[in-house]
Amino acid sequence: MAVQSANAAATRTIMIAIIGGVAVFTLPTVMLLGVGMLPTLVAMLTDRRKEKYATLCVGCMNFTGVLPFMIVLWSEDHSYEKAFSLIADPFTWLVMFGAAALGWAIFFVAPGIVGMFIGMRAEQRIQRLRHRQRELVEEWGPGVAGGNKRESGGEDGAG
Amino acid sequence: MADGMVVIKDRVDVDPNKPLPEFDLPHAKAFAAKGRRDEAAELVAYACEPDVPLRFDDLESMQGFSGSALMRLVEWGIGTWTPRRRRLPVVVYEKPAGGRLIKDVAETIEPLNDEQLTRNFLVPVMTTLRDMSARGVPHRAIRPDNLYYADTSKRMIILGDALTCPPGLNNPSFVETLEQAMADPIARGRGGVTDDLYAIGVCLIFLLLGRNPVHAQDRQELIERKIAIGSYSALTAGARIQMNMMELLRGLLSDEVRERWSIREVELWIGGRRLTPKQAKLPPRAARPLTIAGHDHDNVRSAADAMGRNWLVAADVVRSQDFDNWLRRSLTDEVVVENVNKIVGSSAVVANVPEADSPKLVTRASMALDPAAPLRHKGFACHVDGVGPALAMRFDQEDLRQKIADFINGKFVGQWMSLQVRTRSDLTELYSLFDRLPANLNQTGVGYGIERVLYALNDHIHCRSPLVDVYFITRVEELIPAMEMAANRRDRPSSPMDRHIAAFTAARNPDIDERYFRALSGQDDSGVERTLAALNLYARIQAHSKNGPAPNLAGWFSELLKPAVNKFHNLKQRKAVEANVQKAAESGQLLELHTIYGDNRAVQRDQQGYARALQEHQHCGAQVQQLTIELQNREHMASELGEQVAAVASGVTGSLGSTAIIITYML
Repeated sequence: MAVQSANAAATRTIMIAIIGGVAVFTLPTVMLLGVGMLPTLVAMLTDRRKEKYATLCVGCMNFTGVLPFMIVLWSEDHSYEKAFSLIADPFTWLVMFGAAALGWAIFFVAPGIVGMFIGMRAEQRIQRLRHRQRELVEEWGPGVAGGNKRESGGEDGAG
Repeated sequence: MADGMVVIKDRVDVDPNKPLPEFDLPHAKAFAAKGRRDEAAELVAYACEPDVPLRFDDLESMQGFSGSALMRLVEWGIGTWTPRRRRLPVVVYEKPAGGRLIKDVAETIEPLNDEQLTRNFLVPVMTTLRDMSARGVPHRAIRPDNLYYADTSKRMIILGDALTCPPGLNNPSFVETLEQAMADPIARGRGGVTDDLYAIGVCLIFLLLGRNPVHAQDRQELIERKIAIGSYSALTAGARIQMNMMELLRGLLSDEVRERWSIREVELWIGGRRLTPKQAKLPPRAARPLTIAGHDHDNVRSAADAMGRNWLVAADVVRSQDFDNWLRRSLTDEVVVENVNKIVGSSAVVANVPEADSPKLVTRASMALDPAAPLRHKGFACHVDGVGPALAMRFDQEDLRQKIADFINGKFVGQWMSLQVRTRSDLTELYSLFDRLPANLNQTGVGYGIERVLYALNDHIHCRSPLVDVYFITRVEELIPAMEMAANRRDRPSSPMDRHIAAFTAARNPDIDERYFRALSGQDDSGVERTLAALNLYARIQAHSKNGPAPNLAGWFSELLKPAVNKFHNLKQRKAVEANVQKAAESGQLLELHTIYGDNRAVQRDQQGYARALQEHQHCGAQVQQLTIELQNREHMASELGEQVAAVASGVTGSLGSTAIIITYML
């Protein structure tokens, strides 16, 4: 156990060092991401579930909203000025936060749709099962439903 | 043909509205009848009591018999006796023109002289008895009140009916030999021509004297007198008999069977041979008497008879040392001592016989003392071949049934046969039958018990079941048609099978396997198994007897077996079975009906299918229940699953969107 913990800690340290190193050389991108991914940060902070579905949901959409501006930054001028100019542009905020909002929307709407789907499917299945039960009663009489018990030679008529 | 006539075999019309009381017999009423071929001939028909067994075999043998000293049997058969609303055996004779000699044994007539007696009675009667003997038929109903005048001039005297009841049933004790008189009248057995000759002797005394000197004597008193002084002396009772007749009468009334005159000797006497009259041979007397129930007895025959009558106290007598002393020292009859040793055992053995076996001890002791006498058990005195008719006539009497059952279980017949000097082939057959009877008697199931014994001992009696009693069926072949009529009756009972029908079938048809009868005593509560077993049995009988269809009986069974159809859980199959049952019932073929009900494979398939259906229905129910719970917890599940779906949807959308953006910028 101790060996495994030590390995994880070492891996984590190496990863932080690499990311930190990369961040030092890509600070404009980090700044843009830092600002643009704020909704994801908020979602992460408010998501109390262990699986972090809300964070994942918002994060994915949020990143899609931030990605065009990162490409612009990388492709035109990877500088603080360009990063600030992009951040200063309200359209940039609209796109980044709009995408995050779309993530939230998916997160809130999906359970309702799923619930509706589950309900429909269960009701259909219940109908099929009840139909089969009716067929069995028609073929074997009410005794088969268990409500009218008879071991053998019952006197219940054809039902 | 007038309305209400009873037709016998399309040959004789009997008019139940014209009784002939002067010809009545104790167990058969007489009615006027007409032959269809010869309407001028006057006939008398006897409508027999159904519970009194007819002499069926003898009726067959006597068909066409033309003895001059016997009422001529014209026809017999089973007819529908409308006044009693049932079928009865009817025996038709030519009506004796001169009527009956006397109606009651106490009546008197003008005495006949020896010449009249010989010419008008003895000669023709001897010829008739000889002819009957050639056919193997004893008369056994020769008594003064069963004699008739054959002609209107009232000269020729002939014998009356003998076939409407068991041999000797209606004979008063004085007419019977000692061996027969000591038996109960219902259990006298077939007897033989020697018994007839003895009865002729009694009738001769009556005809000679014009009266019967002993008619008023008590039966037991007369038996004791016959034992003590011999039959001749007892029956003539001091009356004067002509010397020439004395020899004949002493010969005919000899109590020793071997010394009793035969037909040949009587014919020699008629032919003129005259010998010195024989003195009666009385049983050897003991030096001192044996006391039984307060009465002294000085010979074995008397002692045996007293033991049989006083069976409750006789066991103590047999156990006592006094009996042993009397037997060995006072009687000094080596044959009797040997018989007692063989059948009863030594005094030491007798002393150890348990109290419960006292009746058997008395039976064996009386049998050993007097082997020619009837077997006596618990007060019931019978000849072996008289047990069947006795049971038939008194079947409704519980005490007699029990006595006969005890008698059969006692297995006395083998011991009795070992004491007989002469063995008859018919008795050997009876011994074999009696040896087998306890096995059937002691089974309690339907088709066994005392009913089985009743039909085993009486080959020709009708089935006594209340279902078919009125139809008077004597053969298994007649059972299905009778049941077909019974099934159509409104007052039919709940079950088409009872102990009598089963026993009758078992006894009359040995081809039907015993397992069919054992199934009739099934223990199922619903009774379906028993009804199925009954149907199976009837189906076999119908097949064996080649009877025609029996739709009413089949319909009755189909009604009773509705629960068996309802056993089928599968409603389609049930309807199909119902349709098949209806079809089979309409066809009246019981075997077909039984094939449907007895298809166990179909029942098994149905039960297996039902078990599967029950399981599937339960499984469906469980699933529905689970799905209903799921529906109730839909919000929670949707929330759980929806977040996952949202995450996946967002991930997929984001990935696709990012890919699209990258491609757009790269182009």
